Amino acid sequence: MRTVLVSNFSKFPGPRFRKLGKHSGEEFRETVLLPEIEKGTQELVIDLDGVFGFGSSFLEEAFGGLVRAGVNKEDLDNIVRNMKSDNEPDLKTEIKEYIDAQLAQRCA
Amino acid sequence: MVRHKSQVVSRNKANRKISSARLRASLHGAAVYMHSRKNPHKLKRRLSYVRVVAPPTISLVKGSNHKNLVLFIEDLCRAVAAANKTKTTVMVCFRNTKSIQAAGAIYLLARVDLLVKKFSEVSFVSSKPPKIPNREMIAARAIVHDVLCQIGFYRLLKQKAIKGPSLPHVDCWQVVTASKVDSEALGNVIEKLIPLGVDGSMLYRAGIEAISNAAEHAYSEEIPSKRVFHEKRWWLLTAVLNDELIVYICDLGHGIPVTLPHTQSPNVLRLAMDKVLAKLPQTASKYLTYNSGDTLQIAVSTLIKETRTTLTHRGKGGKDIKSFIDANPKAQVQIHSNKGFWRYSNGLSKKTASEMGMGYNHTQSIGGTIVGWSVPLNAVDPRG
Repeated sequence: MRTVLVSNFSKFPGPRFRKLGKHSGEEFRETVLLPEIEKGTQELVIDLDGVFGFGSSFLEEAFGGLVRAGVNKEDLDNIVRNMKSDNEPDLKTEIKEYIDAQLAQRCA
Repeated sequence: MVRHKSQVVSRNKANRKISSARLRASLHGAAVYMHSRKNPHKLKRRLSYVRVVAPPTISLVKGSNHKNLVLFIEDLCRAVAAANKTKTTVMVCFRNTKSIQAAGAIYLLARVDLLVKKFSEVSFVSSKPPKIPNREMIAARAIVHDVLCQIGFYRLLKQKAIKGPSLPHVDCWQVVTASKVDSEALGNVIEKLIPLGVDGSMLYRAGIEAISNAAEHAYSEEIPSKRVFHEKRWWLLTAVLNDELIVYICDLGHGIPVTLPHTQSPNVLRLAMDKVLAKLPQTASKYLTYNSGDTLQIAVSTLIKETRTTLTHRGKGGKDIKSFIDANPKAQVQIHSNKGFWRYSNGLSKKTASEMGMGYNHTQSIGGTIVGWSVPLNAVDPRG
């Protein structure tokens, strides 16, 4: 398995967009998630533990933004299935909601 | 020549008679009396500064306190603008100020911060707030002065002020300000509160969303406005008072009632507004006065997420602002924005409990938004 620690990106995840400040969801998606997804999602584990907390804008932009960036459903399912969040298990459900909402919009 | 006391008294008495007569005459059209009462032959000493007197309570909670604070700051703005032209000094007088609350403190600090930056050549002096006896302390203490020192108010005015001996409920006040979303600064402030038993993750989530809203929407140039924003900052204040954690985030931007119609579609707004009005309890007319005005807009803003989840990906922050309250018994969130004030609490009392919170409209606008959370420390989940 290939693990991506969000805490390596930042202990303090920031706002939605780069223009608003450092450690944004947009920056995380573009510099960490998308390059990792390109390498394959079967073995990819996103570890959400070890950070101070997440704003919902960060999570939506980072993960919901993957749908808007054109990542296919199979890769998204792999990401959600392998995601690790022992400290806050509800985060997985929240991220899945953001992805599902965007997938529903893409299909509409 | 040494004068006898009785001679001085009789001279003063005679001079007062003269000055009284001239004062009366000036009321009836004679030249304006410019001399001292005791010496009608000498010009009165003119004050070399413009004095603006602060209200007795620096707070935004009660209607009268809110009005007094906003009017004081408007007076101060006018005085500073005038002093900038005439090169005089402005005196901020706290002789009447006996108490200060967190929302009022962060609002005062934010407004003065911008004022000082805008008129950097104006010099300030200030008079110290009075010492007030407190049953918990042996000697009377100037608590307001200590708080103003702690939050850096005098430093803004480039004044040296010495805080009194350490008091736990004053020393814990922390202020952070920045123009962009500074997640590290927020995290560092909250990290210091974790030993008190605060759920850092939930508070961080609420805080980062409020700051993001301030940075993204509060000063948006896409919103037409007569106001010019020289500085696009936010201010964060944390304090522990009476075993209660208090966190306030302030911006001096357009305000929620102005930004909301520009950030949300009319359809979403109408749905959210219908939801708010439908959820108002029957006692609303008694406890809630926000079926109109800025307060209604604030209440609507907190419902945007559930209204638009299926519509688009933006506008998730309002839920985060409320979620910290839902997770902590007896916690409360307060939002001041322009003329509106809204608060939502987690089971404070059955009488005033409302699914949609409570609120009312003030007569004066604060010209910005202050979002604040208060939570009793013994009610916080210590696992955080």
